[in-house]
Amino acid sequence: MAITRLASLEPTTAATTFSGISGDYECLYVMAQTKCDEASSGATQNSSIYMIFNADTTANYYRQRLYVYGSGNYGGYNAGGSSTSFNMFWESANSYGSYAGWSAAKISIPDYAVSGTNHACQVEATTISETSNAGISNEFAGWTWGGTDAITSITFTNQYSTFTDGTKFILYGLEA
Amino acid sequence: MADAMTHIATASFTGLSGDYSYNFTSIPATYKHLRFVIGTASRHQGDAAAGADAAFSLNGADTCTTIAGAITSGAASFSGMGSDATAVSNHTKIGSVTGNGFWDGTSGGYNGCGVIDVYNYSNTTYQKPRSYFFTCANGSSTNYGLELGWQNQPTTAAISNLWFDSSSGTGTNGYGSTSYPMHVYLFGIGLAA
Repeated sequence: MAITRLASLEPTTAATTFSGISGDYECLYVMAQTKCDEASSGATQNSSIYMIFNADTTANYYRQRLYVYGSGNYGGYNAGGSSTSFNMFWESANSYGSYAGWSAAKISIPDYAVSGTNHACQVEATTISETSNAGISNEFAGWTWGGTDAITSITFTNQYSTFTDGTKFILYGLEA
Repeated sequence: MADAMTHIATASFTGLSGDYSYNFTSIPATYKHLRFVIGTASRHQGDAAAGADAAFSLNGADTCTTIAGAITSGAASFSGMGSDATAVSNHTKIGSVTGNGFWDGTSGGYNGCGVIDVYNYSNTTYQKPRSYFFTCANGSSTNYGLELGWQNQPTTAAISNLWFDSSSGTGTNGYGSTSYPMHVYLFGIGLAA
């Protein structure tokens, strides 16, 4: 079997980390289901979920994004420069009011175990966070992390709050 | 375990110039689908300065049609692709954003990656659709790109041979970074029906 489940996380805190990732595989996959514990509406209603490698919080991450949200809103985007993390979800699903939805994502990180060159990854993410169109989105993104060490840890951080019960990150290794 | 992913073959590209190809031959019909995983690709056929397409391609023996797709490059650039047999000819291009240059290690030095899925490749009744997802965020505003698409290879014969090729187009040819080769991993998914 070439795909192996390596670890899973079910956080109810603001951040969670896969650490000590084995270098025995060619590609990592992370399957994620998230919801943020938001008690009120407003600016903090929909948190982003950030991802960093090897605890690197410097401006070392680059993104190109294709998105669609609501009804008839779509486009491409990049920030034109570096960020201090991957923004995995523009807005994750949340627990405010009667919002019953979840966010889901698949993250692919090929050749994560090599050193001496930087690392590319891809994210496919979907959010059904509200009953209105505005909280429904799909996103495809390509990222590059400028670090050249092998990736041995992945940290996910909730922008404004903690994760709710039921949030899950599962890490798989794909072996050639 | 049934229905898992199984490694079939790996191609490694280390050249920084010239034309390269790798032929995945005698692909067994044992699986349901094929998946190509492409990692750490930092040089490509296209050249941003030359405004060339990056035409690193997955070829079949006959003409493919792009059923639908979308491209974005740089800030706020977005376009959709409809049915277009001319633009994609007989292959799946990797990074067809003109002037953008996926995986251009000459400018930003940052890698891209990609996935191609070939569905029901071993059946002898239906045509063979593919989906692909290629990305590069290259550290320079002119070298970001993302391409998402679906193609159809109209053969009803089983596919046993697909090849990667850089022998067409213009710009700087070659794959792999200065410090690490580009890998293309081929996996089989599941059991044939």
